[in-house]
Amino acid sequence: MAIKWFGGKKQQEPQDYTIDDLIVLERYDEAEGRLRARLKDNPNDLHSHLKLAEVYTELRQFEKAVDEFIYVAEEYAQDGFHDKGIALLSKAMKLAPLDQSLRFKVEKLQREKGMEHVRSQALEGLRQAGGTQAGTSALELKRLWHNLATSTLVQRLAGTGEQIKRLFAAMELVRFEPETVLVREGSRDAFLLLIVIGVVDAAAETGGRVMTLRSFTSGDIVGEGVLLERGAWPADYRASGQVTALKLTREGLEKCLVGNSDPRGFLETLREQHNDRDVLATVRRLRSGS
Amino acid sequence: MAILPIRIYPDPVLRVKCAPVERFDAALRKLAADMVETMHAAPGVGLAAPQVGTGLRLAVVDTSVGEDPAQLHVLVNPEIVRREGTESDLEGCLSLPGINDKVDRPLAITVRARDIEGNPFELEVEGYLARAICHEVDHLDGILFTDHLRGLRRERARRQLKKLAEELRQEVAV
Repeated sequence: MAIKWFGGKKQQEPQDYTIDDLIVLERYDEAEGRLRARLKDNPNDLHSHLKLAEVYTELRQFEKAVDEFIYVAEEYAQDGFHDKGIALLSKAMKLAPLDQSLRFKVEKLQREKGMEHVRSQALEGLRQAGGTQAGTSALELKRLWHNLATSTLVQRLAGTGEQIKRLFAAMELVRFEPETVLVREGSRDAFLLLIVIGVVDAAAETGGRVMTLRSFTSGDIVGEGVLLERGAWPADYRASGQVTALKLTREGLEKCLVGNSDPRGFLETLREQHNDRDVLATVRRLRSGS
Repeated sequence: MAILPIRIYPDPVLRVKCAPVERFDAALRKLAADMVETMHAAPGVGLAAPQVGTGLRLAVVDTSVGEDPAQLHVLVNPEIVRREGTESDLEGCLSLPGINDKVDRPLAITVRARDIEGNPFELEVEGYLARAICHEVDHLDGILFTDHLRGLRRERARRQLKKLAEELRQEVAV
């Protein structure tokens, strides 16, 4: 016989254990579930990512733990907390001692940390480069700097930070959609691009086929030969995906040089990249062989 | 009157969000009296009903630990209606033996509650008493003082809680 029951006063439900409690109680599977649910609502919650890394460590799912540690370390580093980032990568290295990429990431953060003295000047320069464009919030600028800080060009120009600020302030932040042709071979459009995010492919037609000659990524510059030597673009340059870059035109270059305490050193550093020359050499070699 | 066993972390009752008291009867009076005796015997300056295994919104606070009857407060269905300022000071908890840490609490509060007979009253308190009341009201919502810690302090508390849970497991096993 069924008893019809209308509920009456609802019994008070015990509140769930907190995630910390679940970890303390070694109920790691439940803790993982709760953390993942929390991250679904707020994917950028670093605290939960960090806790998830610890839970994965306890569950001996080391690859997942390493991924979480890397994510949090890079987020910290992008916000300028390099020591925290390095500490987390060190934890990851203990879990994956054979993973060389972790060592490289630590070295990168250490180099970035070494650039802290020029950071504020660089950010000021980037702010001027970004102008009033959407998407150039303080956080975005920090992320741009994170991508550039360890590049050869920036490292060479670092010094007191003055040259970096001067360069960035004279540049314009530009964005390209995937597959956009940035410039055609033979063009004499005088500008240089410092790639911040994304990949730019240099391609040329040879023997009736278009061949990708070289890919350029964060920190690389293209167009230095065109801008400084008044040459022509040696190949077609195409955005492989979304690309963010800093563009330096002839007017910008003049701004960089006026009042510059070391204009020769500044120009030499830009010339040293030799990327256009290398691409041109490849094009010539391919075409002479075909 | 009786001294009641104090529930120790990770007893799940400590995470219960307690139900309001609706019946002001002899059983409630006995529970309150037993809680006062248990708090004094511990000794402690405050005790909330879930700490003795009861999911009701009842707490007792006595910062004199039995020295001054005027300082004993029995709070039924307490609600903090005003918080002013912040102060960081050391806290401990009878349910988390051996764990102490600094917690930020309001400097002064106004608490609205009922006495053991069901009569409403309001208290304006500050300092240590305000801290003790906040701590006990947290218990009624399933919150422990360690939940307020952040960063390294939280990590240290978590290690201590783990040790506590482990000790309890071993005791049960024996």
